[in-house]
Amino acid sequence: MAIVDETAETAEDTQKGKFLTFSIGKEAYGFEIKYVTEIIGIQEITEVPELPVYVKGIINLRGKIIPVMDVRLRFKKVAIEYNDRTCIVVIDIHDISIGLIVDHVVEVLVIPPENIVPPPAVKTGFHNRYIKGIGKVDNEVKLLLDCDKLLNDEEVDTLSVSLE
Amino acid sequence: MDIVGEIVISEAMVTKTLPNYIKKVQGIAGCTILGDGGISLILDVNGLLTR
Repeated sequence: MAIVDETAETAEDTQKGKFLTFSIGKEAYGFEIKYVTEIIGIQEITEVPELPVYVKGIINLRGKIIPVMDVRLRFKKVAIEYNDRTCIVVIDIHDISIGLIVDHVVEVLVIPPENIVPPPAVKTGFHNRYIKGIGKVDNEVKLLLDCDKLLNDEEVDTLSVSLE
Repeated sequence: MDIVGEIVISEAMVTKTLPNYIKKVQGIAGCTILGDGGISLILDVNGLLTR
């Protein structure tokens, strides 16, 4: 029993401070690795009517139907054509599985807590709404996203209310 | 009034609900996975008319 506990703890520990980094346009973003379940290439997306533009539709992930969101559109950036570097990062958060479309996945990085600073206090645009912290890696900065806020936004809430 | 003009092919399918995250879209009853792995949305005709 004690051994089982130990391995469970190790799994938690090895995931700590690790971020999956990806890029959208010129910026580098990161998610905590614990949310990521898999990364797949772009595949056929079935559109569903009446959804916000950034929710592209649903995909069939080995028999499981999951929604996909285009992070680029989520951040109100210009849409680009999907190519062979476009990836769908499947994340699992609070029992919701969702695919996030990103320009391309870069790498998994370990960012120690002392290299993560809170986002600037100026309330400008999405940066403060969705960014949990800013990770410093060498000379670059990685914007660390708050998956929770990315998914649960007042826009989505309004949509579901207006349909009721 | 005819709602459906002609049925082209009828097929028995297992209906799946849409993911919770998408919430309920009125007029869509759910979806189903086709033999080729594609997804087909299932219309809820009643919901379509009353929306």
